[in-house]
Amino acid sequence: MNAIIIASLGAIILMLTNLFFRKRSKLLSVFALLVVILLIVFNTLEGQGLLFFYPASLNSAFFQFSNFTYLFNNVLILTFLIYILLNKNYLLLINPDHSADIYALLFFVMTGCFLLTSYNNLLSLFLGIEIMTIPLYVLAGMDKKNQKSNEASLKYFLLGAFSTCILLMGITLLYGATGSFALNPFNTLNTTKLLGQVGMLFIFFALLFKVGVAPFHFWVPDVYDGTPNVFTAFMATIVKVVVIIALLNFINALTPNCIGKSYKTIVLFVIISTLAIGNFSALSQPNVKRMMAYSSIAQAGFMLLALYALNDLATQGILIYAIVYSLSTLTIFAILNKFSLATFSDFNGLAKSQPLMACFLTVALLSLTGIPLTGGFFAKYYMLSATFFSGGKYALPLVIICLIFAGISAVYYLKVIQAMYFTTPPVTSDHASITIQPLATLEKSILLLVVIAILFLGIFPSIVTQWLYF
Amino acid sequence: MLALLLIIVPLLFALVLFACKEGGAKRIAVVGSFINLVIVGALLLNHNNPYLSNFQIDWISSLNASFHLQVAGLGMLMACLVALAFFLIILFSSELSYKNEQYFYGLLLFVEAGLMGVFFAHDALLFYFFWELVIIPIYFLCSIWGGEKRIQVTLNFFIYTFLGSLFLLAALLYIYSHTPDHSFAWESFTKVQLSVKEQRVIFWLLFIALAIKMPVFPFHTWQPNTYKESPLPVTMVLSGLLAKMGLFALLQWVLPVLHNFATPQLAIILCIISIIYASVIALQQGDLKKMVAYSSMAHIGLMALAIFSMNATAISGASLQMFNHGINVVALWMIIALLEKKYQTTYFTNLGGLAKTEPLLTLFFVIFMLANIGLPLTNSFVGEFLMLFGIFSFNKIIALFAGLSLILSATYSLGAIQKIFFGNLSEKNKHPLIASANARWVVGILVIFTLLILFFGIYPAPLFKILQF
Amino acid sequence: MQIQYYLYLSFILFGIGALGVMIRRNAIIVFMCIEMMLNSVNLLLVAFSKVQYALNAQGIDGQIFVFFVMVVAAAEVTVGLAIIVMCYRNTRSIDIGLMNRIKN
Repeated sequence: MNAIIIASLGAIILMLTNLFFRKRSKLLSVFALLVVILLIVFNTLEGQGLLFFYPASLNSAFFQFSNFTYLFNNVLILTFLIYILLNKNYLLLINPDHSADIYALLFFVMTGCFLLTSYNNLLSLFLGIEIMTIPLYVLAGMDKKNQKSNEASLKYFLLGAFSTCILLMGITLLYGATGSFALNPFNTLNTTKLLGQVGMLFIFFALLFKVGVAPFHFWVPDVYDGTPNVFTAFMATIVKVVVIIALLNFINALTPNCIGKSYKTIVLFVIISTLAIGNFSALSQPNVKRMMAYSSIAQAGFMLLALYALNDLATQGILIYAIVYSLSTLTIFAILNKFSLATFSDFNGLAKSQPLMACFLTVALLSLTGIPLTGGFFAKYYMLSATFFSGGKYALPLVIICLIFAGISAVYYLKVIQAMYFTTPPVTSDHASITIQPLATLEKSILLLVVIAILFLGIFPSIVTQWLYF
Repeated sequence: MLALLLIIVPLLFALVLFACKEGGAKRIAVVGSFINLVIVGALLLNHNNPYLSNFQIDWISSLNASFHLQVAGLGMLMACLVALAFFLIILFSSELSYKNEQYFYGLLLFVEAGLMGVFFAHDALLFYFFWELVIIPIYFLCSIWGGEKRIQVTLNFFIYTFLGSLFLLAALLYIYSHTPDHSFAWESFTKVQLSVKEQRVIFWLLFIALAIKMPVFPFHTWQPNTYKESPLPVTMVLSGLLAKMGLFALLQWVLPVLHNFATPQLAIILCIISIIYASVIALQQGDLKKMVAYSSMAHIGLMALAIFSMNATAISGASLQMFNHGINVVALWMIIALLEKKYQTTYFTNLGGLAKTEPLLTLFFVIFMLANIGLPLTNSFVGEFLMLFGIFSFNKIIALFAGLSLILSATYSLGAIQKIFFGNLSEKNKHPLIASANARWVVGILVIFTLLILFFGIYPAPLFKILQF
Repeated sequence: MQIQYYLYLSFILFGIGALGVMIRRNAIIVFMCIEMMLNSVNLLLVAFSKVQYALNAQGIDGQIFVFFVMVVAAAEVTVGLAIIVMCYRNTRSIDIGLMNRIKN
């Protein structure tokens, strides 16, 4: 609760003070970081039982706070902190007149995210989704003069609004069947009526749409590609992960009886088609940003395994997956910021010219591939293990298919590594235009910490999961 | 404790190498691998002391995975091979010069640490960890210092082995979820009860994973090119040591898990095809490198066949042969490295008649080739004999094919000797670019190999003793 | 009146809206279709709320939800129209069929 209130207060203050911050960008970043630190402190304190804003019981009709919620909120806040630290210069560059507004919008998105991690009612789900996505439509089009950015924004808006309608229709049908918006396993929500079943399916599909997995993935590549780099990094990490958690909360609140038998078949189909489309399309992309868009689709496919397994191990797994995936993707995008276009050949010989940058990028890419000693291995491990423990005759084939796709994903991740380490850049004059800015000292140190965190999680993943049971 | 040291020491030296300048890299690497050899010696003497030979701490307690290293018979024998081979390979590599040596040797030591982990791990997750960690440095080694087509070939190799190890992961996870106490410990794995159908699924998953590593027939396509394009020290590691990982995993992690399980016919047939196919291809090769690569594949196929026969005699023969084949094949690649360095080619058509100019090299090559065939008094003889004997009591027709491989092996090996060292000496090769005679210490290394071959050929008892640990 | 009629009406409206989103190429029209879908949902919510009231005298939350939907829809309109205007300024067109710049 603290997190929701502080984030929205921070956003409102930032929105109102654009005039004041316009000429003092440094102050702006400091203020934003201050709010983020407040968020961490207050969210942690609330997790320990210290409330500040909410006198009544925390687990009300609208929100439910558990250990997992606090832990996941902290993960989100930390990711956001890293995101700001890595991108703060670029956030100011995109639209210098409105930099405070950009921060305000980001904080609004975070408010929506906190709603989505703790909702206990379909109304708070709807509000969370909207508070999260409406600012994102604006952020996608922040680069006003850039037609690609405009187009991404318009596409994102139209398709997002469309999926919101489907979500609303689902909520309404579910309401019609049960007479309540509450989301609680002991509530009347557990219906087997056709109306309610269709409603659930609509909500499920709408949320899949927001995550961007097949067969609702078609907006992802264009939007991610057109959106300015800094916001793509945000959308591909925090937003994506949060919607998956929202989806998991939703399914977890239903009893097996009302989910129905066909649920697992649908999820199976979604996972396999997502992995197939994400991985095969990523193989043939001309530039790294677009490849990352498809790779994020594929990674979401792995995260959806939690929806298939639906057990404790899956909860632990999604936590680790969210952290590792976000950290790796943020690292990659922080480095993509330094490139103008980032085709594969731009990376040629990067290991010679920028050895540290190449090293960070290598760890992040290997982590996304899922090589041991990086957190990505355990992320995938937990997901697959959870699938096995959930049982069923499809578990083994599903795991094998997932692993084959993980193997295929190595091809396109390694393409970047190959370009960096084994290919020498052509020494012609026309390539002089590709200038790679070096990493600033702050970015270097943050990235170093991130990479160490990735490696550490690759050896001791339980350091995170043990917090779940305190 | 000592087992842990065997992993930590090369890692530490690798890190030191990454940090240091190019100059002294060679010496540091030699010292590092020598220390490991000494530790292996100490471990051999103290294998009964559980404090020294066993190491266990909690790793991820929520998953029941522990960092458990244990010295056991076959793993110990393999560790001896690894330490010995790495010391000699690194010593030998000084003869071939590479740019950015510090990284080259650092990555090599990294591989050594990974291999030690694979052979000592007593916990399935740990085993898998090391199993995959071995490929990463190999990937960089081959891609940076390899031959002309290195990037494509290495990517191919990496994807192949990565996919293979993912199958291994799937199988290990499946077994893990069926262990009575949900634990990754080796003991729990041996206690697992699976139905015949489940066992068959697991067997095939593991077979694909390990067959890629060894390699066995339909999964071998990465091997000849990778062996050819890799820098030679890496090829030695690949064929001498990495290929043994698959066989080792078969003995350590597959057979104990499967109970009352008869190897599917298809697996045995694939092994036979692998042996015959590789031998026939080796017979037709015009390139010495590829010939040795295929010959290695044929030998590995024979060992896999022996293991799949599930006959105790054959399995002990295969275990022995894993060690001896490692020694032989590393020695052979060293000769190839010397030839390539001096004459810039390994094609038979460009070589010939070298016996006149290189009497010493000829002698060593003949000895190593004879050992490769498995002639009496050389080290492979005992192992091959036991394997054939075991396979014979398992099935006579299969034994016929296995025996055929020996004849083919003799044919191509002797053919290679004849084509390279006898016949006409070409004008060009009379005055090679590098005129110097081989350095004394290179000869020393080859003498060490010769002594090992002859010693274990005459007196294999110590190897059997290690296998009993 | 029976609930079915409301259900059918709002389904028809929703269907028309969805069809419009899929086949129309003018961004404003697409946007209008989305608004129509939202309103069909509102209609249905109110109808269900009434049914709940008839059943157990507690259906107020459905009508409150409608207000939330309206507020959110208003927010979406402001953002959406701003985005469409921005696109129009840059390209002098609001045809979404022409938009394939990103791929090239």
